[in-house]
Amino acid sequence: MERRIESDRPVSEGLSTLGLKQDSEQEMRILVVEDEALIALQLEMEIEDIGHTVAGTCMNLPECLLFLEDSEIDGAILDVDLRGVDVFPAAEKLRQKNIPFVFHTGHGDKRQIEERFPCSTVFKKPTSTEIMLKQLFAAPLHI
Amino acid sequence: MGSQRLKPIHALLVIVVAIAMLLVWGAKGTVDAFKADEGSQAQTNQTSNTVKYIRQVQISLVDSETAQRGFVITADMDYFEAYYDGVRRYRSAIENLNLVLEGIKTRAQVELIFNIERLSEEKIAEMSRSVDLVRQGRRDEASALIEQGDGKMLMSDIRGNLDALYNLDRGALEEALAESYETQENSFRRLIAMGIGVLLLLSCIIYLFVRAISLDQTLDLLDEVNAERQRSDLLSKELNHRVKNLFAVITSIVRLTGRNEKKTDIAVGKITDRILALSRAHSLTVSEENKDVTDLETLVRTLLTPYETPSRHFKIIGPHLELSQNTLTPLGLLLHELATNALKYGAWSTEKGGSIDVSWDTKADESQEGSIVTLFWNESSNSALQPTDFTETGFGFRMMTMSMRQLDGDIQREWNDGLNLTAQFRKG
Repeated sequence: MERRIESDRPVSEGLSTLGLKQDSEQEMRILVVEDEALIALQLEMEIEDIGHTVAGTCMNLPECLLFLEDSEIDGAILDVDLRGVDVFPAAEKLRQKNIPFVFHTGHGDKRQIEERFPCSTVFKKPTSTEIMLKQLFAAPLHI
Repeated sequence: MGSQRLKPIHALLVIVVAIAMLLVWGAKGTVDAFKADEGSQAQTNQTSNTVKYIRQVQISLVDSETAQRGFVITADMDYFEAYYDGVRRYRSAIENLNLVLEGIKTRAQVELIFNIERLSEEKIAEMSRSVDLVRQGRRDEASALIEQGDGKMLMSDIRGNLDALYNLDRGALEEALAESYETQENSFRRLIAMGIGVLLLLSCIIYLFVRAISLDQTLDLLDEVNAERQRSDLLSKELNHRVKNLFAVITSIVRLTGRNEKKTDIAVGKITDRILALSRAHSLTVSEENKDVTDLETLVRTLLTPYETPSRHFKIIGPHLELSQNTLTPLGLLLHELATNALKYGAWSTEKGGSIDVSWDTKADESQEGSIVTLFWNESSNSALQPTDFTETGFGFRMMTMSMRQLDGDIQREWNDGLNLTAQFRKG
């Protein structure tokens, strides 16, 4: 049942298997929520490299909530702290819509976040994009 | 170990208990002195009464003897009256003497008084025999009786016993006075000791007072230390946050540069330059809680100066503009990217060189707090050619756009005789 991937594994492990998505996998539309430009750009490019589509990149919470209003996505990678504002309202919305998401955080209490969102996994920065995507689509949909 | 050490407060407790005991001891001494004084007072009263009645006994007996002799010689009835008066006074005096010493007589006193009474009765009997003889008209026989000298001897014995009784009482008085004096001396010493005790107690109180003041000062200091520690905790939290963030950014720089530059030596050079630019931007300050830490002119100058040569120059025109810590990474990366692009393709790319004007102005943001900054990057060169990959999808352009988006901003660019770029961003 526990299918979480340990987030502290070396990035090189992800890199070694970095490549195109498996043929069996569909092309997914991913939302990137990240307030640090370079990290956002890196996520965007690596998601594209793997063969998925970046549906959008949001750098603050209002932008993110607005985006979720009328966009169709298959999954999301969420930075927890957006310029001092918690991303949790966006996570709540994703949970309501049954859209899988993972957290990608540089700080904060990992256990506390996992208790609040048991349907999700918390990855510490930096984690390989591929590992996060694998977890994103391995996770069971939370009802 | 520390708890077993004798603390000053324990010593103080011992001192206070000792002083309390000293005061109780002193108070008891004072009460004793009062009692001793009362005792000697009573003894003095008693002695003066005793002396008075001893004298009355003696005088009354002497008076009656004198009257008896006068009566024997003259047969005058006045002497007879005086004789009886003397005997009456004797009886009253001896009764009073017994009353004064009632219940407190010593064995010696009992013996002496018994002797005095016995001898006095004998004396009175001897006198009344001669008085009776005179009244019967037998004066010669009465004279002969007196001349026998029995009466005289009796009188001398009585006097001896009275003197002894007087001396006994006198001795008791002296003893009582001596005891009272000694008790008073003792009591005086105790009073001095009590005085010293009270002084010591006052010293203890002053000591405690001084300690309370110093405790207050220590508490104040502790408050200051706590406030200082909270500040330093906050600062270290902030720094920790920044370091983590910078490591994440550096990781992204490495991975993005590596992804877009397949030649290792070139990739390493680009990575190094970008990290150096980031390092220069952040070395301008150590901030606290994201406050304004440096200004835009300093940042531009810091990032462009390493590339400046006689043929590659730049000009900065703009009002003083404070920057907060969170703008340093995106602005630093933007300016670095622009400078390296100028070296590679733009105004600084040819032998002849060129110039870059960096200028800006600000306007208040009506929708939010803070202000909107518009930054102009204008290159001018006669020899630079527009690069062939001047597209919106190139890595450099995406990085600059994303950096300005981080600050709620955007960029536009065009090529005249060099790059003309306008970047808008919000300054927190």
